[in-house]
Amino acid sequence: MRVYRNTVLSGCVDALRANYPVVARLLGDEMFEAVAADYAANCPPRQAVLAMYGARFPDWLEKQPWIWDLAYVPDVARIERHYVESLFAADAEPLEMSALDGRGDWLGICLALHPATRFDWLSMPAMSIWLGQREGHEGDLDFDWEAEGVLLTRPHLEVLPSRLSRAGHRFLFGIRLGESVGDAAIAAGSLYPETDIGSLFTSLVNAGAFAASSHRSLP
Amino acid sequence: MMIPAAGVGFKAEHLADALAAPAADLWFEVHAENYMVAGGPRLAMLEAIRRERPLSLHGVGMSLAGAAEPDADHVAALKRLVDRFEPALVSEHLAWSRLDGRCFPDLLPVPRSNEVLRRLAANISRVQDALGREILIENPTHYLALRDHEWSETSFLAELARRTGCRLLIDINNVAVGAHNLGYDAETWLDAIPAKLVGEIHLAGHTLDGEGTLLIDSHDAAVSDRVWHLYEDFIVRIGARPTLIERDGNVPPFAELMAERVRAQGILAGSLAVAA
Repeated sequence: MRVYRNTVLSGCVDALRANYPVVARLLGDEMFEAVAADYAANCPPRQAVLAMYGARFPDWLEKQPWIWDLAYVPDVARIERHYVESLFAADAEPLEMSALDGRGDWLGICLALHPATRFDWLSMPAMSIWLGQREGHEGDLDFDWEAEGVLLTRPHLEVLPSRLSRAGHRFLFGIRLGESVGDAAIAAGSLYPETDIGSLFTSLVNAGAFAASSHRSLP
Repeated sequence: MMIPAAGVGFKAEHLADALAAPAADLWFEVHAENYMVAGGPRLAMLEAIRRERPLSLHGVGMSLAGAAEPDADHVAALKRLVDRFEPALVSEHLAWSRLDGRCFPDLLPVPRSNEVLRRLAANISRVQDALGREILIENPTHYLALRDHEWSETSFLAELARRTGCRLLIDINNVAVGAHNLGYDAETWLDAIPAKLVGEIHLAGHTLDGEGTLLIDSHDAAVSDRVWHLYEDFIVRIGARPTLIERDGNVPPFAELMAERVRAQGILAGSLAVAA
């Protein structure tokens, strides 16, 4: 049965390598293959569609005993997972600023996130590491070792990564929970008074974070 | 009915070449599972291909030979693809790849018993009913001789087709690999397949395993001379059929696959000329 076992395993490892290319680069080929095979043995696929395989890989990585001196890797993996989810999410028209022309009743407007929008707040500078690896930087990267926010949007066919501020994270979190634009803006603005909430909102709309025809007025 | 021409397995890295290829009657095949996603650029790419060329959807994950019915979500996902892309051909492997909720991304062998035959026929019928169309069933590769076979492989396949109305996708490389590994005769095997049941043919390459004894159906090399000879004899007997040049590993430049396609197309044209 060895030939079958080998091809089963290599199918899983290939799928993980496709979905976690930066983690693979950070760990190196040899280590990644061993780690991926270990994961595949512990968390085998539950469906035959391997395009989305590896949902639990970031959490699993975090629990591995060898991860302590590579503590940023699980957060990089989380970004890569968000990327895959964004890439394969349902298509939808993004909300344009022009759709909100003339609206001033922000406390009465609720928005839905675009199906491909993913955001997160990570305790490691994983976004800087991930962006650096994507752009092919070799050697040391110059960034502050601190928590970072990540926003991935896919208004059309391409995933657009951007850094998310704390205020931006609070704002999107509120929108996801169903807060009105006004309520989310007030909450973000009172937590982070240095933030220009108007331009934050415009930049989120322009990134394609919200779905068109999703805005509805509260009664 | 699709023109019985030669097609090529589509790879994303070949998109521009595939769209620009001038070859008459060229068609493309993709693994259905790779496109079972909600949206995004991968599906947009397949739309672009489909606008230019006929498409064949080849499934590897339906687990038709499994003990359970095919997974309803998986069947629904395949139906969405079939409805959206209107493929000329839809095929699926004869294998099981699901056990106790685990999926195996490979095609595990089945014993050819009466019980398995009943189960397979029921599962194939369920899928055909759900899709509202015929599917083709592919003969698997063999690496080890399972005991407990009650049917020869060829009569088993023919009986499946008789019971369900499905037809067969004959992978000639799988026949050659199985013949080598299990020690049966590939020509005899192919001769036993009724011509009217063959809806498509796969041609691929294989490699020797590390110990040099087992042929692996690796799809990572050019079609071997042995497979070309078997193919030519098979076509002479059964007539032209849609034929796929399949390559999943060591993917060469598009032109290299197209060169193999020209050879297959020549053999098909030869048989059409004889028939005319």
